[in-house]
This record gives sequence, C-alpha cells and structure tokens, in this order.
Amino acid sequence: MNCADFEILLCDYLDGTLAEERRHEIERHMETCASCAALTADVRSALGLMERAAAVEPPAELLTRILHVIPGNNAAGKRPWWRRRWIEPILPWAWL
Amino acid sequence: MASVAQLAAPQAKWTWAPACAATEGSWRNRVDSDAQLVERCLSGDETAWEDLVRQHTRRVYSICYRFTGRDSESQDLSQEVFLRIFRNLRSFRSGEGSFGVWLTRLTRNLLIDNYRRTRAERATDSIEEQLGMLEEKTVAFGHADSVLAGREASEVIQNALRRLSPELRETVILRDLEEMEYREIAQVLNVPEGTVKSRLNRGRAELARVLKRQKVAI
Repeated sequence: MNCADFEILLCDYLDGTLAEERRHEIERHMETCASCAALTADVRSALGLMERAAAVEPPAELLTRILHVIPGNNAAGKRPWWRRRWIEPILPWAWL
Repeated sequence: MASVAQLAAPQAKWTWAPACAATEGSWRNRVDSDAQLVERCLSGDETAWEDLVRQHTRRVYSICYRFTGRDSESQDLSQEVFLRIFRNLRSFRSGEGSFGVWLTRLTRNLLIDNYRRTRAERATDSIEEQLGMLEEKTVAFGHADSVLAGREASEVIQNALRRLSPELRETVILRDLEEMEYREIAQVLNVPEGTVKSRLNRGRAELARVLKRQKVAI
C-alpha cells in the first residue's frame, strides 16, 4: 500500500467500516510511514474534538421570522382568494 | 413582506447535546415524511409549509453558522434559503434524491455565492486583527491540562473552521458536524465520493494543524 491508497481508505478506517484485511494493511502502512501515522493522529484528534462539541441551535425567533416573511398561506404559488374571485374571472391575463 | 432589518437578530444558542444530534436513523426516517410534507405544501395545505420550516430550520441555520461564524448573517442566509425553497418547491423531485439533500445543496450553493460576494469585505480584515483574534482564542482555550468539550469546544472549532478553504470547510461541516453520509455529501457537492473522502481527510488534518498552532489541547 502506498500513501495515496492509504488516504483513500482513511475515512473508512476511522469509521470502522473497512474489512479486516484492509484494516491490517492500513495499520501495517502506518507502522512504516511516519507522515501517514501523523496524519491519522491529527485527523483522529480533530474528530474527537468535533464529537465533544456542542450543537449549534438557531435562535427561537428565527422560525417566527421565516414564517412571518414567507407565510404558508401562499405555499406553492397559491393565489389569494380575492384575486381568484374578483380579478381572474374578468381579466384573462390575471391567470398568469 | 417585512425587511430583514426590521426584524430582531438574537444571538445563536448552544446546547450541551453532542454535536451530531440528528442520528443517521432519524435523518433517514425523515425522508418519507419530508416527501409527504412537500406534497401537502403543493396541494395547498397551509400547515405543511410551517412543519417543513420547523423541521429543517436547525440544520439550515447550523450549516450557515458553521460556515460563516456569524449569527446575524446566518439568520439572513437561512431566511434566503427558505425563500428559495418556497419559490422552487415545484422543482423538487422526490425520485431524484431526498428533500434533505436538495435543501442542503441549495443552502451550500447560497453559502458559496455569499462567500464569493463578500470576498472583498473579508480581504479588508488586517493581518493584525486576525493575529489578535488567534492570540485571544489561544489564551481563552489553551488549557493544556483539560479536555475541551461542549460550548468551549464548539467555539474553538468555529474559530478553526474559518481558516479552512471553503471546499474543505463545507465537507467537514456536512460530514462531521451534520453527520451526512458520503453518498449524500457527494450529491450535495456534485463530486465523486472519493473526492468527498479526500477533502475530508485534508479538512480534518488542516483543522488539527490549526488547533495545534493555537496551542489548543485536543
């Protein structure tokens, strides 16, 4: 295994989804390649920190704000009742 | 329609739950209900739109916030994402992928557009300012004898993510912070899965190097 092959398999190795034989190949390569071993250690530590990080939650007001600006009563281009009742019957272009 | 400026812009909140709150299972189970909600929206069901927005606001805001690092900008972008979804709902084809992937692709495209548009603005930040920020974070979080977690870890990551190129940053956010599958990320970014994995390796390694430079104990 060379370093390019190693990099392709690294994600699956860290996910634990590699077949045993492939996993052993990765581990043997790390024993002989200091830079790939260092890369793995760096990636592992970054992953560990991200796993421990708190999730970002939107401010509660954001939902209200979005629904205020884009209300559902006009979903999918539904035309307002007054337009359907009064304008469209008399003006053919109003359907457009 | 109210303007963005007329509306309040409260601060982002953090929770102590793990970063990847939505599990792979819940993401998958959502696919069917999303398709139904879209159908209901298109048939004129007024509550369906509200449900759709309610279910996806966290993901959209979280991606925007992780990418930009700014609450106010993330709220504006989240609103713009839902406006685009609203206008383009008829173009969503459930047979061509999940609503979640479609929504994430739209969010990502908007973020990249915004990144390009604001490039000049960011370039005006002086090197001194950036160094100052770096030192400040090092002082605040550089406790070599303690393990970072929760909100502190989240802020450290946020600061480090800003130093990644957009293509590495978006890949790390989608995989490690939003827990999307490689196949889904490949669909969002329109690149092969191998490219996603390669960017992910480089992004994670770069993130670790940034944190080391900041002398953060990870």
